[in-house]
Amino acid sequence: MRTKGWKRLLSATAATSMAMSLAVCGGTGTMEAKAASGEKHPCRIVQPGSLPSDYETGIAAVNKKLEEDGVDIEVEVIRIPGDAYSEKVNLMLSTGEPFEIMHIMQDVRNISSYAGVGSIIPVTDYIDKYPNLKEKFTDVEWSSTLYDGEYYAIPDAWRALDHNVSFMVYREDILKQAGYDALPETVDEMIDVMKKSQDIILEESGIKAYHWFHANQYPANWLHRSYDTYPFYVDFDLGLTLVRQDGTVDSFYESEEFKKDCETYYEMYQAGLVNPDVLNLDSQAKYDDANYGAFLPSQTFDSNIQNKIKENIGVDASVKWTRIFPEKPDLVYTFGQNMNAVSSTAEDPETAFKFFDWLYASQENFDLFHYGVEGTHYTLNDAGRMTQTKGEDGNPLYFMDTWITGYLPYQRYTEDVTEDYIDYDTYKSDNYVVTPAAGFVFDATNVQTELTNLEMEIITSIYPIKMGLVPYEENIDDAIARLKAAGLDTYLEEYRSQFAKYLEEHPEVLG
Amino acid sequence: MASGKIGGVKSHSIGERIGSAAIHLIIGGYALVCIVPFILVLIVSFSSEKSITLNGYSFVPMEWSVSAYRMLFFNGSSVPRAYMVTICATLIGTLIASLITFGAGYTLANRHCKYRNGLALYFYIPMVFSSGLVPWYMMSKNLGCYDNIWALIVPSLMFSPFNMFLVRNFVREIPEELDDSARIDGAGDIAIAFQIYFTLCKPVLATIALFYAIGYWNNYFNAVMLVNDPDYFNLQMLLFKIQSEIASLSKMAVGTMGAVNPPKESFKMAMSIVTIGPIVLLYPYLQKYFVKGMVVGAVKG
Amino acid sequence: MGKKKRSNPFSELWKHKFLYLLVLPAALYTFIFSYLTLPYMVIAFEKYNYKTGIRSPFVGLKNFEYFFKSSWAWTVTRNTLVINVLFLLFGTALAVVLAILINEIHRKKFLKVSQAFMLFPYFISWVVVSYMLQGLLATDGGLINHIIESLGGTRINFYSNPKYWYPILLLLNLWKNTGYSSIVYISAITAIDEGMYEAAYIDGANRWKRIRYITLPLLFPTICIMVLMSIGRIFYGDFGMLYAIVRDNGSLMQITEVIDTYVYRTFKNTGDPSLTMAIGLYQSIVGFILVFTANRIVKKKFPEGALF
Repeated sequence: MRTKGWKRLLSATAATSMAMSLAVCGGTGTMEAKAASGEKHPCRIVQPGSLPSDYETGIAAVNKKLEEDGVDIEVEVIRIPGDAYSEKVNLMLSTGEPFEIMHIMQDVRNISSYAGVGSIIPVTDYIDKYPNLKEKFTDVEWSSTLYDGEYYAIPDAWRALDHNVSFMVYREDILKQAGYDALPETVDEMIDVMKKSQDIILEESGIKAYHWFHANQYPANWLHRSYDTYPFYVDFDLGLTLVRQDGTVDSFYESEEFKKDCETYYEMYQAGLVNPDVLNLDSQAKYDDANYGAFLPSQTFDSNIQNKIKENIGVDASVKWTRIFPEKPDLVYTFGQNMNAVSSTAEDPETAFKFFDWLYASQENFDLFHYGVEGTHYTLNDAGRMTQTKGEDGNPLYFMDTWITGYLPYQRYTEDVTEDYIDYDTYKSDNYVVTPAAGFVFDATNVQTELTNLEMEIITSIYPIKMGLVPYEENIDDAIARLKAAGLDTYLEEYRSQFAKYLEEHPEVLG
Repeated sequence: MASGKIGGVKSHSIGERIGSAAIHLIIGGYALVCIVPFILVLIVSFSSEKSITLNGYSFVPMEWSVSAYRMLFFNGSSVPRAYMVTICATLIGTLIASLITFGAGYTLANRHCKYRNGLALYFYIPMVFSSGLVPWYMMSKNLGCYDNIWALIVPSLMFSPFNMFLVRNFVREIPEELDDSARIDGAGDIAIAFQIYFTLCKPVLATIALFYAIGYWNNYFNAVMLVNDPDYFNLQMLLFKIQSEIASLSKMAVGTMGAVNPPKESFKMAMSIVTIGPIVLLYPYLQKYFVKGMVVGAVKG
Repeated sequence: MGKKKRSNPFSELWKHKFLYLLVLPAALYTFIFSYLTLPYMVIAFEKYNYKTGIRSPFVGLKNFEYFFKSSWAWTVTRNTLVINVLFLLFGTALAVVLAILINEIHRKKFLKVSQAFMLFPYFISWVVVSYMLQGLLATDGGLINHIIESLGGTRINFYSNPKYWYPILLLLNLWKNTGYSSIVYISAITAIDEGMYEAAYIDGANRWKRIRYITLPLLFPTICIMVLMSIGRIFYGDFGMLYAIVRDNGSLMQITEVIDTYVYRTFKNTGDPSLTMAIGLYQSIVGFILVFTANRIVKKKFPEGALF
């Protein structure tokens, strides 16, 4: 092989390929042409899911109203199948594909992992320009979109969160059969109720019902309410931090509270109240069982499943929700779980504000975008309840998910939803405390390695103890040692220092 | 596939017969182990969601139901079109892919190709190094493989180094004398490659055609990432989409949107059934190309 | 071409232009999709920001530090290797055995039906497999525990017990993939000259001798390149299978968490593609070094089995 000829060939190829690929993969490449229709700014909203069958009619009506209202934007909803959603969005961001609005679910991936890498852009400058939109949300709701001192999204207040720590859903008919009039106020009696309910349900439908967390990562909030040290807040994400009302941050897994949780769950597991395969199950399975009436009092389910139970097993179940240990105050811990942010590939960030300002301006606008054209896509009865027109595939002709762009005051319910559920959905607490951590968003950029490792270590060593599969005493020391090896102390130190700074800037939260 | 006779005489010895019976038993048993779960999948796809929740998976469900299939084949469903799209992409793609691969494998096996080892390395490296989704997407888009049938044919699927190595190895086994004697007989390059070697390579060509066809048939990724126009959704993409929808339907909390019991599990099973039919029929059809003995004749001739 | 005394690559290409023309389409395709895209790997050395894209600030090896500083780096690497080696060894062995046995069968109908059946598991998605597995192994209500209890034993909590899982995963992988991988060996066996078997039979060799001295040695080059190709990807775990079957099961993570699932978790937590690219680069480089070395060794001893 003659080297000279080869060298020339190779270097020419390398140069060409580098040039071509840099051109191809440039960060903010050339955007697609602006919308040709007059001066309208495109407003592309990216959401998980799929488009309703009569999307075209619905969205045309929306755009017509926008024009009539003098808003110079044209709305388009882009839907991506849920399983491919995060990959495709990442792709669109990486390749500079333009779109304006994307949705963020804090309990799946928090805002710092979007804002920190530049997927979304700050919108602080626009908030004051739209006072109507601004006042739709409280200051603390806006503050849940903060990162590094800037606001990054518009809150999505689609359901009440005040009672997330204190609610429990149960079947009243089963409760009565077990010999109780109301949910008991001691933990031991609670366990007794669960045991009896399990037997009754087994006879009723042949399914063995279990007690569940909403997701394995959630803390046992209902138990925390029974402790003397309540109120305190354990974060729902990894459960590493326990924030007390005086601002101290403790390591939850090393605390007495966690120990008590584990001992109770161990007792429950021995009594057969926790599914032995709880660590491996598809989270959907328990909701399916609940639709057949097979669930124990838990902080997991929605109380709106009566009709489903009736249809599935023909039983008139009475599903209710209540606040357990009712004299204790509710714990308000966060003001934003869902929000809508502006993508870094947006043509004009202000478009997002124009859209949401219009959307939340009136019930009419809200209805038009989410439920469609009245008469064609839905009808209202006297009480304001909705009946949706279904298409050939059994789904509503037009419907935009209200959990993505919702606003509780405008929320409409279909005919078959119980009053009880509506109370649950719109609950506003009159006896509550706010945790000091409510407005604080932790920036994990400096502890990324520790974060992933801790998550894995928690799943591996802590969950089995937490769910009661193995006893606390014999296993906790080893588990804590592993957490420390994964960087627990580093993480806590970082958290404490950021939190201390936050408290300095906002001394009123300790009031 | 060996023919039943060896040297024209059917083997009759006891040892051979016992061995033969044992082999049939093993293969039969293995085939059974493979098919039984599949039959379960078939039956569950026709079970009602209710009986699945109450009784789990069973060969004799409590309640039959075609609701999973109804999700696919209702009036106005896009499944028939998706079938057409997939068949089209599979046929065109497999054809092009097989030709390209044969060409590459033939050359790399040819002793006159001085750089064949370098080329082999060149083709192998991408099997280990990949820069991921983003550049792939950009490249496909820039080549015009976006929102049309080519998006389903060209990116990722049109050439696989793995298949090329199979061809190369197969061709290497063919004695070199064949090439020499053909040249002496006056055949040109094209005739040698495409008339002689191509027909000799039937077994490996059938193999790679099968692999490519399966690859095209099963692929949903290209459609999800590169196609927005519903007219070009292929079967897998459509199934993937519907299954995603059903999953989110089940999660609906506020009000009851759609069916009370969307056929979640039975649909996943139905997906497997709907997918598998045509492609598995392809395999037995291709088996007739797994024939032996042509090489010997060719050299002697 | 010009009458140069020394041959250069261009004249070599021209001399056998037909051959190089044949390989051109594949080479071009590979160049466009696989080589032109390689420079994007540079983000592994950058602190990636979506606004600056590929031109983000350069940070050297910092992203690699992320992985190697992690307390799980060794565990996931070890798991990936162990699982892949298990799959490779047993998978190849079973596929070869299957191919050989199939070759010995002559009843056409039986053959066609069995071969078709063996391909079915390949088309069942891992998600569906995970459901069926749950039906088998669930502690409460699973088929196996049902049988155990009806025979008077105590039930086994499979999903909380790591010691069962390498065998379970191996069996699953074998069941799902062997039919497909045996096709390669089946077609390779058909290339073996029938005459050799005839001669051996006449010489008095029985079935097993024929397999041992004819089939196996002639299959060897194919087995070799198949194994070599797999070695290059020995650091890539089977994400689809593990994600569907094991998911977030903490009890099993110690032995089933592989590099690819770790990467997935990383991206979910940090949203940073340069971290995941760095880990991917690490997987590629190690795999390549391994395959290059293995290929060298094979080339010396069995040249027909070498990859390049």
